[in-house]
Amino acid sequence: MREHFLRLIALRLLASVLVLFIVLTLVFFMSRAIGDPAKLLAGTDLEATREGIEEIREKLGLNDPLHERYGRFVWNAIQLDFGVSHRSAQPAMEDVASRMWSTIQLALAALIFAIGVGVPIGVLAAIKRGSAIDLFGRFIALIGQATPSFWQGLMLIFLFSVALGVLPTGGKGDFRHIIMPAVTLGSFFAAGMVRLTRSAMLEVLDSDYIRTARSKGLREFTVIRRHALRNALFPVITILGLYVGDMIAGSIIIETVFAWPGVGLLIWSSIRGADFPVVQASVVVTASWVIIANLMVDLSYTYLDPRVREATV
Amino acid sequence: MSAAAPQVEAIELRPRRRGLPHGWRSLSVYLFVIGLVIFAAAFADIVAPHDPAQQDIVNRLQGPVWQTGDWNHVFGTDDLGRDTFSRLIHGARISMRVVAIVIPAAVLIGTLLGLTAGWQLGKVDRFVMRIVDVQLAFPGILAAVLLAAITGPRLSNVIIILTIFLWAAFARLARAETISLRERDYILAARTIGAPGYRILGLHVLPNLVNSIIVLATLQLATVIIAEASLSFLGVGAEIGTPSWGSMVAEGRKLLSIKFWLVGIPGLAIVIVALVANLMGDWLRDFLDPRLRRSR
Repeated sequence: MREHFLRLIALRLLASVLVLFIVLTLVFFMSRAIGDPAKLLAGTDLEATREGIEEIREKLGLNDPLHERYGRFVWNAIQLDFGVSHRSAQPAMEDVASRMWSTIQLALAALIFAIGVGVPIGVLAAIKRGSAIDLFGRFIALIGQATPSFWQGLMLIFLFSVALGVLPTGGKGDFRHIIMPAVTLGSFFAAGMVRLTRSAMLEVLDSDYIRTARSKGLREFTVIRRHALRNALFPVITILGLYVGDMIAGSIIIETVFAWPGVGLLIWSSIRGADFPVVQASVVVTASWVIIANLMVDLSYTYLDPRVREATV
Repeated sequence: MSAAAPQVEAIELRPRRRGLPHGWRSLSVYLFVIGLVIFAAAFADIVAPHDPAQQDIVNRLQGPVWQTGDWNHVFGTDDLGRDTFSRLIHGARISMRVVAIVIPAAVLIGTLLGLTAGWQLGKVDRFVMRIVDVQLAFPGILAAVLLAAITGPRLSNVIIILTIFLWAAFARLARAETISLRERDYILAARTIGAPGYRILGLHVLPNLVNSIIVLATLQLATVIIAEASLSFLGVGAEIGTPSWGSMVAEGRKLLSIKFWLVGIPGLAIVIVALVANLMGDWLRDFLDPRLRRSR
């Protein structure tokens, strides 16, 4: 059993490395297609002579054959070296690393909001099935999943910054700055949490061991907390890993709406500024996050509950 | 024969459903809303009271009818004096065009690959599933932004990228179902008499999948509409100047503090259509595919 599991981990790890390798390849060719970095570097001024561009090409090694450039790219990428940012003149990876913390903060705050709001509403909706809170929960879930986050962000800005003037419109500063971005990023996932928790709770509440717990004469609160909630939360927690990819995708939009200085905003601005090294570094970093999260979800499914894995294959 | 009579009666004890199935009325409401949007999209040129691109500086930044009482511009005008209502109708056309291409393409590609992977297993299966893994790890929005940087914002890019990122859901569905069916007796029987794989898949596996695919496709409607709007909002979706709902929000954004409705109205349109599409998906799931009901 143990050996089997180790073998499985090794296989999954290998698959993840392969996926990362494919992502690297895609990033290499996609950013080559954007344009000639030497021309972009030289700028549009008249002084950018043909010789000047040629010199930059030689320096960047752009005249080497494609396979050599590709090999060098992969080899450097393994060492987390994506070259120097054209705009900040710093190593691209440092640019990304300095922004990472902001995105992680935002994602964590959004996650806390999603769990803090989604799970209690989902549990209450399941316990009091058909009641006002159940209807409310389903309404919230439906609205949350139908509202584009960029629009929700703008509506929050209108309400809390323009009309009420209680929260800043964007940027990063004290605690008040993170509230709206986190709520906006979190609500989509809160909606998913409500649906998921509710259905998991309903299923658990229907089971034999809950009837046993009740017939033992336990208080309803104890039955819910000790017996039902623990079992219902298991699938809810493991599914969180699957949200990582969506969260990163969402953070690009949220960060541009609220001018939140994270990796998402960096990707956005570096693509606009044709800053290849930074584009490559940030895309590879975010893709790695998602790959690692998927790996953990996969392994935890297999380790904790083989049934779940079968169901999700 | 009279001995059998009580049995028959016992079966008949279950209340038979009479007339329309439960919830039929809500379905008609969903269909009405979706139908309205499709109608507006199809006949945008006739339905829209104004040319969506026609500028009218004199009447710029006019409020909606409940503020001005002017029925000529029901939802007001933007900062160039263009009629919001007409732009909204033409925006529906963009959303519907994307949906009408992306969903069928994703269904077709995903189902074919999923069926093949689940049927062949082994190398083919691993290959298909690896592609699914890659795109799960590669946020679609990144691909869209990269591609827009190469070609400039284009609706065809949006269509290609959304198709690439949606087929996987159908592939997973088709694969899982094929794997669960391939050892059933009736499939084994078909194989034993020498039926070729494509015939078994088409005649015996696919019919079992149709309901789930219809449900999943309906539930993806909202995803596609919101994704197109988000990309257009970021400026990497519909061509600049096209009245897409997402780009309307983006254009109204700079005036958010003074002209709330320029952002509010197109956003509400997205929310209403996405909401109705999701409700219809839920309804269809309960009706066609009761096995999925518990995930509600």
